[in-house]
Amino acid sequence: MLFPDSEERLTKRLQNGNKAAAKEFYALYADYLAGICSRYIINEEDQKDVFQESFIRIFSNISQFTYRGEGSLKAWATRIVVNESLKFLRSGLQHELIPIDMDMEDEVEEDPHVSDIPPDAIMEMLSRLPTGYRTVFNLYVFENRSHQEIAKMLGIKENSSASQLHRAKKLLAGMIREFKNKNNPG
Amino acid sequence: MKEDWKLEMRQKMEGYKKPAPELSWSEIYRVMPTPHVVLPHWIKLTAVAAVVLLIAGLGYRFINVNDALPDLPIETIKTHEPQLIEQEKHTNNVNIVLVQTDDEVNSKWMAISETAINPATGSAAYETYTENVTESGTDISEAVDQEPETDDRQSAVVRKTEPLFPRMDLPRKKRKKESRLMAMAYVSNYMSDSYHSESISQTNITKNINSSIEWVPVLDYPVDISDPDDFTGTEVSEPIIVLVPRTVYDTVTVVTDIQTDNEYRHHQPIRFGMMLLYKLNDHWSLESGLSYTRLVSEITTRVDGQITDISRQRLHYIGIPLNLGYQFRIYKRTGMYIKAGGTIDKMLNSSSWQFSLNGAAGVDYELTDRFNLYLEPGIGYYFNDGSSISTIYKDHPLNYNLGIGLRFNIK
Repeated sequence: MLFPDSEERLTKRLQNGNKAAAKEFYALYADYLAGICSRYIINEEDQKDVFQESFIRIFSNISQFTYRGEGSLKAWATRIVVNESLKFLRSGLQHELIPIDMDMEDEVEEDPHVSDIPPDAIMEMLSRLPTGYRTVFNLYVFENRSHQEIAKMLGIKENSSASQLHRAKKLLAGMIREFKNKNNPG
Repeated sequence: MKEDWKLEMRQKMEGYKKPAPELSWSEIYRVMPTPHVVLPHWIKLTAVAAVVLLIAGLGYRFINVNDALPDLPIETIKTHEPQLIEQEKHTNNVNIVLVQTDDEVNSKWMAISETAINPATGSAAYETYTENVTESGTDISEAVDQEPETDDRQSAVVRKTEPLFPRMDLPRKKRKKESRLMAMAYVSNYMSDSYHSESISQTNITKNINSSIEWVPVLDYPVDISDPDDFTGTEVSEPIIVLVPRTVYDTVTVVTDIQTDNEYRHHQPIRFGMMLLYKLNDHWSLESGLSYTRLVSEITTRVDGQITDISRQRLHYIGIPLNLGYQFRIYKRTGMYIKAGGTIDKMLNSSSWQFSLNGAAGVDYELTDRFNLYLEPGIGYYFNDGSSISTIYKDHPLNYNLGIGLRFNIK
């Protein structure tokens, strides 16, 4: 249980180069940030690399961080992990993010409702998505980015982002249906 | 709704964790910032302002007085209560005022002995003595010892010498130290000084009549008591040269009332001390320690409007404060706190105990891991100590103060 001002004090100590504070930061947020990283990067070894790079990024840039209330440090660190993950994916991602030639209006929109699905199962489903779909889906859903922003971040066109999301949703909806049938037959 | 699924997904995965891989800490440590202290501009400004405020607040009046009045080994004759002497009943008021001659280069000062004020005419007889007192060791009283020409009444004057303005040494600020347990050193003062006047009336019999008036220049320290709320006019500060009548004395007996006024100008109290602060938890703390307070007052005695004596009252207190504080961080290294408590001050060489209640709101800034600088405006209420001694605490029981100090984190 954290005290209300603990993140601020932690920030202050990190900014002052306190090594014990770095360990505390790891103890507090590493598992959460590892969870974020694993949404983008599937390969365990790659995850480790990206995770390490993310922490280097966090601690080397901590001086530039401005505390803006409880949770702001966590949010800032999350953005760094997402950025580092995208940086890792970017090279191979271009091939994945070619606009999908499809007529979305012809397809029936099915939303992936996950209220009955455990988080680990959702993570497993996300990991089965093609990288491009998964990346756009993550940015759109968890980072709450617009297609315009996603397009800018990934260097693609807006309609590419929309089509990737559309496909991701469709695939996920199918996986969820499959999961429910498997776990609640009949 | 159209995007219910999105919110549902986000909520479901919120706080999702997975065991984190181990890090190469040596690499991490290498990129971490090196410990440093960078004071934001506004903190520097605040600190400068605080120091200026303290210096101005604490020292201005003292320094001003010391500059205006010669801080030289000048001694003066202390005024005596009006009294009847010889067969003819009259008063011998001997007032010493300092007069600067035209020769400012040599800063010659003269002592004028004023005798026998004539309340009827407002005139007075003066004896003028000159002595160069710019060099140390010259005692103006030697000059006064000369037998005046006017009449034999001077011989009846009992002379007593005492330093008019003893050299004042401002206390040096002692700042030492300040997590859970902190030591702190601080200095604080009132934000104003005060002025207080009291009058004593007594019947007296004097004699004199002027036969001719000769005007002589006299250095005077103007005191305006026409508006008791206007403290600015009450300082004994910049001297001005005024012309006063030198009365040639004649012998006539006049019965009149003599009014003695005592004007107290209380300088800002200076308090400094050491305290220990113990953090009960992240917000609450208790602090206590020892403090030293010095009160200085200037007492100007006037008889019938004429300054007869200027003396200085110094009071010393040793106090034990006890405060309960509540602190919180507001920005990076900056924190704020409020505190309230009381202090028991024992006046040295007296049986007086001074009780007070204090409250303050402060800002502190973490200079390093161990040192915090803090600035602390506060308010205090001083209860009547029951003594007859006039102090600033009696004149202004409720007053604002400003404290500045350093905290040292012990553990």
